[in-house]
Amino acid sequence: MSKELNEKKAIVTGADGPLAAAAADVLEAAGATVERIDTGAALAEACRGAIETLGGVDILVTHSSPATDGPAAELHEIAAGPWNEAIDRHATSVFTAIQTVAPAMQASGGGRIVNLTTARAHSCADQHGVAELLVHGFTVGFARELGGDGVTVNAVEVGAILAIGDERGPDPYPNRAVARAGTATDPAALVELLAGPGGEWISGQVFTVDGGGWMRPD
Amino acid sequence: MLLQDKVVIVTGAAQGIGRAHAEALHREGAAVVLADIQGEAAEAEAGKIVAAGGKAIGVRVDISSAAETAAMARATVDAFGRIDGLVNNAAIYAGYVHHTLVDLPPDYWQRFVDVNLTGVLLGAQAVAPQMIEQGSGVIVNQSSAGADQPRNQYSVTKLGVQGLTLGLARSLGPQGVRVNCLAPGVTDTEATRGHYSAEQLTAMVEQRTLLRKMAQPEDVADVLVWLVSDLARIVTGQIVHVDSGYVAHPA
Repeated sequence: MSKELNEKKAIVTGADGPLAAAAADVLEAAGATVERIDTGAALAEACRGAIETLGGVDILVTHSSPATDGPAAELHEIAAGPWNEAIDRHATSVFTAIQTVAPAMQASGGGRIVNLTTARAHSCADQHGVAELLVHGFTVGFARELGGDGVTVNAVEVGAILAIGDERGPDPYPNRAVARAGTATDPAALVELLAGPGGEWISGQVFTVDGGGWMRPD
Repeated sequence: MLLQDKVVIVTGAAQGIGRAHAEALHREGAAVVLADIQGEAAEAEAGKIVAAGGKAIGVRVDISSAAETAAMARATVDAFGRIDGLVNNAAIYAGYVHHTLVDLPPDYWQRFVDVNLTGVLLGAQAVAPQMIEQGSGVIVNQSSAGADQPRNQYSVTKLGVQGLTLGLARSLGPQGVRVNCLAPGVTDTEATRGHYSAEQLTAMVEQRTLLRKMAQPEDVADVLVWLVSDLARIVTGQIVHVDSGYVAHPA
């Protein structure tokens, strides 16, 4: 049976987290072969190893699971250690993964990169949010650089309850337009679209998937 | 005068937009602390303000060092007794190398994080205790019009500065401290002229700005004066684009 992502080779980082795990699952269900890398792995080495195992790479989904983050700190008080760790875990890691994977995609004539971030990037209320905002910057920058080689780069920013991996508690945003809390699988259909043939002319975008928690008119 | 008796620190004040900030703050009556990694140049600029009858000191600071930003804040309180404003203007900009992101050396990325991003955080952290004790203060972080369409490590870190602005405005707002962001576009400084030829600058201004005009550092500094002054007393967490309409006019 022909599936949309048959024979596609995918790398998913941060796959120990529920968001990236759900993304990996949906890519597999669509026919892709997926190499899963956990949060905190040495990404340059791990991505090179995954490309070797797969025999190439068509899709990269980046994520860094918030589940193993240190506590959020108010920015005017945060210490150097947790600040630098957040930048490393959530921003530099994504930069490293894309830098490692992009040349293989460019050489093979195309690819799809989807960066999974959380609504923390929106408020920037703590160190993790600022780090994830940098990922949105990388998304636009890499999209511009790689588009000529057929590589698209987008970000999917996912609503708050998913960010802490707790899908059972009450919805912290009662004002959400869609009146229920999100689950890890809610963004998966968008990831599949962006990773597949339908994503060919979509690049450099940050999509918010949060049940209409934060809405914008333009 | 809009800033009579205010005490304001400007980082990166020895040249470019930072120097224009310092001059404008002095013109409006503020005592100015000119901080720069080039300490002697900062002292020389401060000397000009003092010679003109103003209040100013120059201090050397490497903003990527928490010890040095703390010393900058102490020197300010020692000299003038309080801190009303901090302008986080210093950044790696002059002469930076335009790598592609694919080829950007990891160490060079880390250097931009340490100075352009963490340096802004350390500046804010250095003045926050004094401002909280006063129950008032203003921090203005300098971003860039480039942050709206990041191309390289410079504009990615300048996007991060906008995030820091939001986060600091959140955490310091209840304590009476405002935090805002200035985002200049193509501005006529020695550093900008080092990055682009006259022909490139003319093309950028003609094709990318609504006003068909390159900003002068003084144009940016006049908006800074407003943000620091009590005229902007209800404004916080904002990104103010000062760019001849560069961001409003996507190419």
